[in-house]
Amino acid sequence: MKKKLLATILCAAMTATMLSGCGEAKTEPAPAPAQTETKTEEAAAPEEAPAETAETTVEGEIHYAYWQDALTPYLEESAKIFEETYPGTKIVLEPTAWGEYWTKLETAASGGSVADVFQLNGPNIGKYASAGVVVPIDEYIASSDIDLSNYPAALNDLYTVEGKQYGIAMDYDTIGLWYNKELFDAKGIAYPNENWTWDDLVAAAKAITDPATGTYGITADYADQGGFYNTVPLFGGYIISEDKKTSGFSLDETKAGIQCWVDLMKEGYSPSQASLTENPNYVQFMSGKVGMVMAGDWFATTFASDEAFKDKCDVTYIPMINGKRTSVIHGKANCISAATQYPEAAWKWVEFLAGDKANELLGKSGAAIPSHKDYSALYFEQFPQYNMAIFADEAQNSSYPYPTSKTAAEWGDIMWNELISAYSLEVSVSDACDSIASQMNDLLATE
Amino acid sequence: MIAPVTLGLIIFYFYPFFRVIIDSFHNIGAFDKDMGFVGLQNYQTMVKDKEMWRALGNTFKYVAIIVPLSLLFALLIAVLLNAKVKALSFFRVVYFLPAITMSVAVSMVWRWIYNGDFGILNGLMTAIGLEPRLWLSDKATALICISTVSIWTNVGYYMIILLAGIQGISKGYYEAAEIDGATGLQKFVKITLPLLTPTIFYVVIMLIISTFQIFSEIYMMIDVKAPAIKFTQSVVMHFYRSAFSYSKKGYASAIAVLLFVIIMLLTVFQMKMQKKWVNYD
Repeated sequence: MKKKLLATILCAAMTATMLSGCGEAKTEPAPAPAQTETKTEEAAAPEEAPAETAETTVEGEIHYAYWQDALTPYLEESAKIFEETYPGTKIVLEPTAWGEYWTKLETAASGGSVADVFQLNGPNIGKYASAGVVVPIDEYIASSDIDLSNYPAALNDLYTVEGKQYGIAMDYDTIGLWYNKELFDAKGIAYPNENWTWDDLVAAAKAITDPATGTYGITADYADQGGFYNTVPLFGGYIISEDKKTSGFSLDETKAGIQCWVDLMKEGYSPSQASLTENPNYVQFMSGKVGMVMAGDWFATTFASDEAFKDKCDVTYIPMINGKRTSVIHGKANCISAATQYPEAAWKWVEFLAGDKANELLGKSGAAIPSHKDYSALYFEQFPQYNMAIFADEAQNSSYPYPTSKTAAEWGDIMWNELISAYSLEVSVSDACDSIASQMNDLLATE
Repeated sequence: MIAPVTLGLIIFYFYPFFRVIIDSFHNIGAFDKDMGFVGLQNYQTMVKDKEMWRALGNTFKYVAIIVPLSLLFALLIAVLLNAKVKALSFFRVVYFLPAITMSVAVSMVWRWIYNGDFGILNGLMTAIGLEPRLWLSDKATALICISTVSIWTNVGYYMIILLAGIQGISKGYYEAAEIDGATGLQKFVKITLPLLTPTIFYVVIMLIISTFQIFSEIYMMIDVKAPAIKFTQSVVMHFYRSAFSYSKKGYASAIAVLLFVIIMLLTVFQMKMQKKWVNYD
């Protein structure tokens, strides 16, 4: 009896460790193949017999992975048209929630079951391109009708790694200052406008903040794209040098661009970092307890779809600092998996999504700003109640390229890890930035 | 006949078990790229990793809170449900329900209960005139809140096991005690408890093993990017983040091996110690 129990318990203890190990096991059923590429091809092969598929015909089942739920209607419609144009194809949409998207994508790519075409963003393109998980598409582009000058130059650059382009941006986004008109009216303050400076923002945040009613002027929690990526260049600092070899975090100018946010936090004009982690900025903004939130154009859909809230807010430019105005520009791109069985069909799908019809559908769906310059306006027309023109103006006249490098995903984590304590007011911005700079420089040296 | 099961065991348990040990000596990065054998380097990194020590400390806190309280409540409820009360099966079902509900779903519900701005708990707090709190972000409460959820799910399951143990005790002992005029408490302390020790022993071992692996409650209730992660993450959570957020799979394997060693040592220690208190007569 005792022996048996001992055996059972040891087994249980053993499975304990294995439970945690199984995540890896599932992704790697075959004993360690030497290279990612060979492995993924092997794994992708069996299902459908590719015996007589000629290379030039466009057919096959294309799985398409993306994270933004709002894109689904537009993608469903696009897929329908695409399948009608190329009868041998089938598009399978694979949406994943933002929180799990990158974990799932990487696990799938390691295990060889990744979608044929998937969306990448600025922080991750370097990682995926340099690991050979996605293929360069320069030749495809050259032999197609695609004119790259129709897409924002900053985004063509973003998806070019070591001289090769890996994706075409499907949308672009810039950042604006959203404000709750009701709260401004209640305090009798003028709405934010294009002439605003950072000092005006601070003054308004102060005026709106009212501890008695639990109202705050602004949300100043940790945000890169929606936060310090915009203010750092205005103070004259940078995140990463142009040659992508050094971190800019040790510069006083960079620190100033982060300090301005932490100061808002310190003054109590913003809900705490902890509170904003439990309920993100746009949720608090929509609940009417926050006067301003700096956020991307893509929130327009969210705000406009809330009947009770949609007419209470509007948007304007990010305030000027040192007489300058800027907004970081970013966009996600469609990339082709190196493991796809149907590269032709995968490319046709990417081409289709970059084309006129898909851009038109995207604009009308109101889910994101189409990257093709001829169709951006369609998106803005979906939200006549908001001052959406500012986003296009920012993109054309004052955009700042999204900072990235091959190890951007990793130094993104470092940035968060260190700065979260600064935004929580536990350490000074300067100390956090110095620590980022040294870790980030080590990392950049390995690129 | 047993081939399918054995095959399953080999593929999903034995192979990964040895594979994790091997991987812990390799440097494995993004997309499972194996950058070769590195000896003990992953283990050396672990010793220097502050997050790892903090995660280990948190895990011991979870064990210290969850194991005794789960056992206590499970035992209490088992004894109560062994008595002849009205609607007995109803209560047994009610207490067992959390055990058969997905822990992910349970955690989601609790996350909303605890929510700082819109949660029921804070609603109650303000209703009775207390200050609302950010339960899951506050250093002082986050770990306790997570433990509470874990205890709540544990109790039902272990209650059933203890109840079975109690019902396995021969009625003869109680009858004899009643003739001698023993009180309810005396019967519990002198008969139920000693004769239940084998079941209690099993429950303690299983509780310790499962609590050392606490993960889903933390993963669901604390955002991976929340400041609270530092003082709530368990070893398994740290393992998960290392492997799947930071793509350090070799290092993560080393963490898994360490956890295995800790659990095994503790279990062996308990097996040795059982002579002192477990009654198999």
